[in-house]
Amino acid sequence: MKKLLCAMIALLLLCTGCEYKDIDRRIFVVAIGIDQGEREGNFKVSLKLALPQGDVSKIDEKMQILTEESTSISEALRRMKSRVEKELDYVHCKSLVLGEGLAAKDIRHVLDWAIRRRDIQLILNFAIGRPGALEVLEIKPPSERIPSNSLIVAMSGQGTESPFITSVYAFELVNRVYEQGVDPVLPVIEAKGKDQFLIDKVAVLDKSKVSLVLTADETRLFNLLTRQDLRTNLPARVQEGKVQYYTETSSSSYQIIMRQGEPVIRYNIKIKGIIEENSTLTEVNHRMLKEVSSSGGEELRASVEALLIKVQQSGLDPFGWGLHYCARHWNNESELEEWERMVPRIRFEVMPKVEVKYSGMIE
Amino acid sequence: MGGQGDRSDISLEWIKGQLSGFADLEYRTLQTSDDETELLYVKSVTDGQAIGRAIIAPYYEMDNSEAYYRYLACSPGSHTEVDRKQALELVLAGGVCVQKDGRLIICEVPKAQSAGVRETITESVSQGPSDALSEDLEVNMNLIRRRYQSAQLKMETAVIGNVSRTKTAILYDESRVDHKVLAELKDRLDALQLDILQAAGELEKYLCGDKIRIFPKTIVTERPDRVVFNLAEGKVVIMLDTTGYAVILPVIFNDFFTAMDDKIHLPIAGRFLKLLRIIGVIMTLWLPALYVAFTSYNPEIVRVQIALLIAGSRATVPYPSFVEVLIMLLMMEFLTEASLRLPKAIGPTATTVGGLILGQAATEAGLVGNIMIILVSAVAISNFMIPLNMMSFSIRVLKYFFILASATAGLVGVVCCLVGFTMYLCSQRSFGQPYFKLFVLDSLGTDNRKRGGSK
Amino acid sequence: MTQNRYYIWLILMNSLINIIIFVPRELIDGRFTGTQAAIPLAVLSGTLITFMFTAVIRKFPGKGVPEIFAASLPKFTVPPLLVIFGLLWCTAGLITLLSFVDITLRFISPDTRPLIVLLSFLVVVCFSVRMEPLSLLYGLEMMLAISLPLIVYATFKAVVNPAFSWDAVLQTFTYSLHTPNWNSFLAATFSFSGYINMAIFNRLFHQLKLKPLHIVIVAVQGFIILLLSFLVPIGYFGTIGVGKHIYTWFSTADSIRIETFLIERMLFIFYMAYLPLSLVSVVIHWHVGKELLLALFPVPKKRKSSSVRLWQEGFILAAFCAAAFSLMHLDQYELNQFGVIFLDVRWYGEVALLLLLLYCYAVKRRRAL
Repeated sequence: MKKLLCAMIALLLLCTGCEYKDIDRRIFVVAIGIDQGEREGNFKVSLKLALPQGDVSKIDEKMQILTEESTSISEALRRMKSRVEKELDYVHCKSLVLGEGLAAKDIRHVLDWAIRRRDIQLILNFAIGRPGALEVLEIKPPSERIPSNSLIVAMSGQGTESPFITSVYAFELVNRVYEQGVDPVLPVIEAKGKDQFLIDKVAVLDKSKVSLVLTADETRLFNLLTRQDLRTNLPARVQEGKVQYYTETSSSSYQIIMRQGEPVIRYNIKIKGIIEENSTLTEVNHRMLKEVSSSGGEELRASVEALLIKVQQSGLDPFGWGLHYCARHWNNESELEEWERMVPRIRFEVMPKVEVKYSGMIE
Repeated sequence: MGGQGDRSDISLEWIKGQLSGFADLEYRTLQTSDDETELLYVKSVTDGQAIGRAIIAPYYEMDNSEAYYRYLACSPGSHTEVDRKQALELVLAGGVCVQKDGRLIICEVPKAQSAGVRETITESVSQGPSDALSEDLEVNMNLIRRRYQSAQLKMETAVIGNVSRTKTAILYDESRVDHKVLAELKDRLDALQLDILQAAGELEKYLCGDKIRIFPKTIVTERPDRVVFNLAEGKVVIMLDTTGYAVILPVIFNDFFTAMDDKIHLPIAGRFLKLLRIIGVIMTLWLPALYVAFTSYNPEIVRVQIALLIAGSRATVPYPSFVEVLIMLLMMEFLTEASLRLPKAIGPTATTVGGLILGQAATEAGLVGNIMIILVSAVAISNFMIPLNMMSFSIRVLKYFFILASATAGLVGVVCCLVGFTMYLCSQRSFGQPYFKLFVLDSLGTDNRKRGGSK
Repeated sequence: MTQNRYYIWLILMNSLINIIIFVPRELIDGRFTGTQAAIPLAVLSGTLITFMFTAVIRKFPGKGVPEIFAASLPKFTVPPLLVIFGLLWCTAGLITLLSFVDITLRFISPDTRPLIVLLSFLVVVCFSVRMEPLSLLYGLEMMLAISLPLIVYATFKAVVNPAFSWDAVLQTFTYSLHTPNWNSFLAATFSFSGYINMAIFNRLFHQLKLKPLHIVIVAVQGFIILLLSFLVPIGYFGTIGVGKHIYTWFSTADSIRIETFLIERMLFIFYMAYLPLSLVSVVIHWHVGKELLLALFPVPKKRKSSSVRLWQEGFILAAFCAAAFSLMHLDQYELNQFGVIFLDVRWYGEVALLLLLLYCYAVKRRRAL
């Protein structure tokens, strides 16, 4: 036992310093942007690097962006290695932005690359950059202290609770790309000048490329239907005036039912709300709360139905109805075809249950 | 023990029989030409001078034995009518049994050793007794017998060391001790061949044969209450004359993280303190190693914000992280060692000056990172949370193994090292008893037996 | 006397380690072709074999398989049997070790040299294999105490994640009507083969009592762990995408984010939970293999006995380590294939061992009459 211990120490001493690379000899890539290259089939890869600074107390973000074009992503990355003095380290890469042009062609190549590389994590946020990935990476909001932090925080939904942001992780994307009966979605990030971005749209892909981009309002409804407890405001119309109510809790679920041989998707949406804004200038009372609830529900139903029909007509399935249907039918060979034949005939029933419970701090 | 109440058969012989195995039991016969009187007392709890003055001298001064008997019966603190249980209790509390013509008197001549008793230095507690064991075996026996008044507490003596002739006392509670342990201890003591024995820790070294020991397998303590507590748990205590420390065995790993005031605190507070200590140990062992692993091998593990902070603080540091860690840790060790040797009045000053100024200057000069300073101080502080010095030193050394492992293989090395040491701990035995395992699960099924008030 | 709980730990260890040893991959490969039906079958047969094996070996209190064989089988058959079983156990450890080295290189330290990783594992393993069996059980219990809470936490986090697709799980359920898949069955029974370590550890158990509760625990834990290790990755990667991942469970752990902790990625917590567990399982498997092979050597005479034993043990361990080094060159598919072949062969080995023990018991009974 003693000898073994000695041997262990000796071995450890011998091996020390083999593959040693200190943190200050690495440079962290925090975001990757991939665009189409100038030449057909090329990739233009941009990296956003975080440069650590000695004095932490100074709010002074430093970052650098590298761009390189090459026939393959790996080649571009290798070439960029010789442009910085330190080793490029991708382990902290948290977001991958695809250029709009690339997303309109095929994302599967990039996706395959991202999940195949072992140092890129599976909780990487994917997004589409508009007009291009590089422009999105170049954004530097003034509130940012750590490079690209704002992008990371916004995309992963850790900071802002914006109802318009859908965050998509690499593992979700790969799940949806290969799964039958559900289609992938990606958030769209728009660059507004050099220090602002706008994330309020979601793109639906037909397994490989973008084929439908939802508007901001539709994105909010999409999030309402796919997420628990979406914090948003929704409109309601009472007595010629407009009231906005804020959703404290929300939940939605759906069933696919067959009514006289016809498929019907019935959505149940439950919302508990609080009045946030009232333009009618009248005092809110109990009757009015009820009115807001019912008219809000009506309004919601109309807009949700419009969204669902739009999605149905596009032939895409971002909600995973197909999978839902297959998961509840045992005829595994034919269920998918059966579903696909059914899709154009589907009718939607939206049953919103809006309960506005409070009038806010004043009556 | 039985026989309560029937005074008829209570005799000095009976008490003597009950107290067999007491090396500090004193039995004397006072003889004059025509009659004799027997005396029986426990030396360590009675006042020898007082016995001479109040019991032995009058015997020879008064020729009349009946008068002597009456004198004893009237003197303060004497008892004539006692049952067996009381008799034993009285003797253990410092009573002297005088038997004359079949009649028994117990006189209280207790000795209270407070003058020669120091305060604890190495194991201080916030509340609770502050006496420490002294260098004198008799005094120590007094301290312990006063706290453990049971006839079951046996004491055997031996002399160790051909030259030093150190008096050694082995104490145990006969009804609770594991006799296998006792036998093994005696075997090992018999096999000891050495010239000089001066410290309790030294005895520990000779008793546990293993040459490379990283963890102590006996507790060396200066607190009589810890001794008593462990006696009640069925452990064996060895006390050496001239040392001021007692050796407790067998021990388990967890014993080293129990402070004596854990029992004084409310249960939740006590457990919280114990948890704190365990976290402290984990921190002191792991923090430096993890720092090396995170900075040199696996920066992906911590959040990007933290990684950038570390990278920023290390920007000016010219050498690899494990050198940085080693330099700072060595500095800290120097400080600790130095402040131990310095006179008490200067010690804190040296630490403050050394710690503050050194750390500040080192970061200013860019030789070590800011984060490193925080880390080293955390390590230093948490290391001293371990109540027993022996273990605290072990842990102090042990962290370098972890640093070495993490410098070799990063996080994998740290975890491997942890597994290795856990397995090593599990393979250890303290006098044939398991040293480290999940003792909690053992006691789950059985009720709390006669454990000495432990949680 | 060793308490019965150590027996449960041995089984639990094997159950948990299945994630390392290619079991989920085998199960997922058969997700459309009958894994679902194979799992309950495996639970039934695994529990049955566990029960029978334990019942038989109880009749030989305090004895390991080498002693039982030596007492009841013809002399010439014992060494080859011991070699075969010894190698089987050695392989079990080898596969855990190699695939864990592979996992480490893929997920944790891509920069470290494979040799260093393997070496640091081997140092720990070889150091521990030579310990007393009782200490190994203490160690196992300790490692479980460290790992189990982390694994439970990771699994809990995995299942409550909103990104977990229950529809995909249900979709796999609809494939349950398929006839059981033999390969999945063999792989799934691995979860129950922890009892087989009793072949040597029975030396410590003198009064092993198998209460009905124990059987229930064995069956339930095996069933739950198998279901989780099969279904959780499907919830993350979908019914089709899941087939793309090699170390399915580690990829799954990589997909879980911890919002409020120093460490953001569950992968590392999961890895740190599994590293001690797999090391200790390698230790236990190799310990059993070593003891089986050690029975081939003549028991040394009293003088210098410890050093002779040391050389014998050293020789066996050196052979194990050499095997580990020489198998390092296997590529991913070969390693996988190796693991799958082992999973199959192991089951036949288990059944053979059970039959041999039954025969030995019959011999013993006949002699007693």
